[in-house]
Amino acid sequence: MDLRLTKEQEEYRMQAREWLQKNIKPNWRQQVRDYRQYIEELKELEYKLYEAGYNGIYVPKEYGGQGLTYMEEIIFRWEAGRAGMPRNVNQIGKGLLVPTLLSVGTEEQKKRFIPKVLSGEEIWCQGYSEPGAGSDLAAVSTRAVLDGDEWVINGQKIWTSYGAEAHWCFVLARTDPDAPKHKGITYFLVPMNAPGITVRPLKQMTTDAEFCEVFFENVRIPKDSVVGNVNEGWYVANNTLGFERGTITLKMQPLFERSFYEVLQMSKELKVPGGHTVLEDTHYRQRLADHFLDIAVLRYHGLQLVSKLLNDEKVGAEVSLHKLFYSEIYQRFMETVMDLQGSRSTYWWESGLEQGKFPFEYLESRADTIHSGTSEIQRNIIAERVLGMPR
Amino acid sequence: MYFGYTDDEKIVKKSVRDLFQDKFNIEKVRKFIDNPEFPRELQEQIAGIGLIGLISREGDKVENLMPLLAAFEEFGRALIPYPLIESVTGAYALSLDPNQVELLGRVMEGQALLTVAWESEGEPAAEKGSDGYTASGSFIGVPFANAADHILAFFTLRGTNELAAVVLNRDHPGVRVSVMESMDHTFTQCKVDVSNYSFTEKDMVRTDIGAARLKAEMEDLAALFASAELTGVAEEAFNKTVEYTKIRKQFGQEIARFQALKHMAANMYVWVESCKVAVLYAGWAREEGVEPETISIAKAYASQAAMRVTGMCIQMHGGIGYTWESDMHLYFKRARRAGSQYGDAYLHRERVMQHAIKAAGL
Repeated sequence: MDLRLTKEQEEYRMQAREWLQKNIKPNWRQQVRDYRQYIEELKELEYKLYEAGYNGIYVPKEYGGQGLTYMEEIIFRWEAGRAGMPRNVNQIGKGLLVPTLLSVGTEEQKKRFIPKVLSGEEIWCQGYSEPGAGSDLAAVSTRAVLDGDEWVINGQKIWTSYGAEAHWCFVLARTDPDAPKHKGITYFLVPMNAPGITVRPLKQMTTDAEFCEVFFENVRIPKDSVVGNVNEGWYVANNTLGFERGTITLKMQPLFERSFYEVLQMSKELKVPGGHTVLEDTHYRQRLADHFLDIAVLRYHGLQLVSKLLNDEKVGAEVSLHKLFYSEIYQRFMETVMDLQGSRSTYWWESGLEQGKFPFEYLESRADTIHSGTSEIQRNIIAERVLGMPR
Repeated sequence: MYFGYTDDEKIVKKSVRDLFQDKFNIEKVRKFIDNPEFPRELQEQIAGIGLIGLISREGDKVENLMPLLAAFEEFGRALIPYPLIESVTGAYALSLDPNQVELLGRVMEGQALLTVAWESEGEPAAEKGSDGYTASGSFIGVPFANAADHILAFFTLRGTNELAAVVLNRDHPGVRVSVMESMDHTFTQCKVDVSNYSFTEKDMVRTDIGAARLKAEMEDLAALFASAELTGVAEEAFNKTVEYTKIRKQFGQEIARFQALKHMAANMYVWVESCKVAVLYAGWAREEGVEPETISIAKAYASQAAMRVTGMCIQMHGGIGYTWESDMHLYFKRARRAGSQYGDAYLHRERVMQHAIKAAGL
């Protein structure tokens, strides 16, 4: 075991901490009631992150990154979580498109797309799920047909986060309907202003409208808008994301820890029906301690994952463990946080405790066990690929 | 940055595993259950691989803890009937008192078996007389006191608030040992009644840190070792269970194909892996002398997880899992015992909470 940061890493961390303190509003969503304004502020944050050198920390300089190591990238994510950094408006671009292009993109694609993701100029969304292809993602039926020098795309995507903000979308579409379902899919880069694209925001249970439906009607894009080979899109989407898949959630742990301490603060004032405070209550002390354990263990899982990545060890289904673990413990934690607020738990915004941060997060926590592969899909992956239980 | 056992520690883990597989496999454990005579042969073998007396205290730090944790995982995996936690923490105490070097040597070499009385009934006390001390008191759950040569026990010195750590000779007429009946057949625990036990200062473990601090440090280490033991217990039961689901057929197919079982198994996997990382982290923190709350995190987590996992192992086995013939109950019972002793989950959760409240400045 060797968990100490070097002197340089420690300095990098302190610099990041200082920058984040100045530039991140804690509980940002609660402070900006208007959703549009909130999104605009998040877009503004992307420019600031880039200027400060915190977008694409590990990305080579020739593509607009900082050319540092995974370690600095990870340190920044920990600190970002600690500072209460909200969900990122260009998470899809930075977290999924960039590593995919770095891994399998052409030199031209890397030079064209990565710098503008990092600079915050181009926001990306992900065209994966469809009404008929959720957990069974490989069943996508959006079609792409080659017509001369252009692909023509028809179909519908759904749950497309930040679809209404995005300039570009990476799309999984079927290019060979006769091939086995995993082998007839291609990964396309599609500009959202292309004629034939319609975006319809979907209001979520939180009342925000982060995700959208995206309709493609005879959308024509150039022949070279493909990442990887034609019909190998499933491979592109799934096998090139080791680092990101594992680390995208690293900032969640310090965020949870931050929330935990906010809850303790709140529990000192809040009373249970019996009259004493939540913090004095044995039942809640035990439950809160359980969440503290979960959050600590999430940190250890993160450290182990980081260690594997830094030491070039193979990272496989651990990533499923990480996704399953963080989303499930967060949901349970939020349930306790609602319980201990008793009859006041459902009030939010001006009427809620802590500006209704927790009711909002309570609702949001329901999404985490669904997006990016449901808990059930993660359990299948663990059972089949790690434990070798047959399909 | 590296998180995990080093290659050297993995070698220790493997050699301990091989030793237990070779010398004390599950059939031997079964024989012990049928005839619970302390396996003397283990005493020399465990001493031979150098586990007892391995760790040393360096100020706030403890050296060589990680290889020992690796060994304790194997100790749990193999359900070894031995007071290993007690021998190791007892030797740790002896190593802090230069006057106990002779006894420490015998314990390390496997010539003397040392156990620790963790839990007392009432308040055991000692009185100072003209030519020494006299101690009386009762202890319960003392591991393998029936086989031990020495029992390390703590007594309050009458007239002071001080504790004394005393090495009792089990064959002294003032010590009465009776075996308690416990559902964990793999681990003998005894009631020890001490009455008018006369001893002198040379029977006491006297260290620079005082007996109260010594006791707290020993309890902390024991909780850490028990967390590793519980991890091994849970992992072994889990591995056996997953393999069983790949063989057992119902409705014309291996039950491992059923999603209900896959999802149970995935949850169990998460718990087992979580125990492992919690133990690793707490071990690192204890070695470094930082974040003392992490031992309580590990023990609270591992206690709950091992009990749940071994219970689910029985469920996944179906009817056979409820039989005496199946080994599952052995893991289940061992998890319950080690989970509820060395500080149960309730106690360690409360400690974690006290830490968190302090950290929050409340």
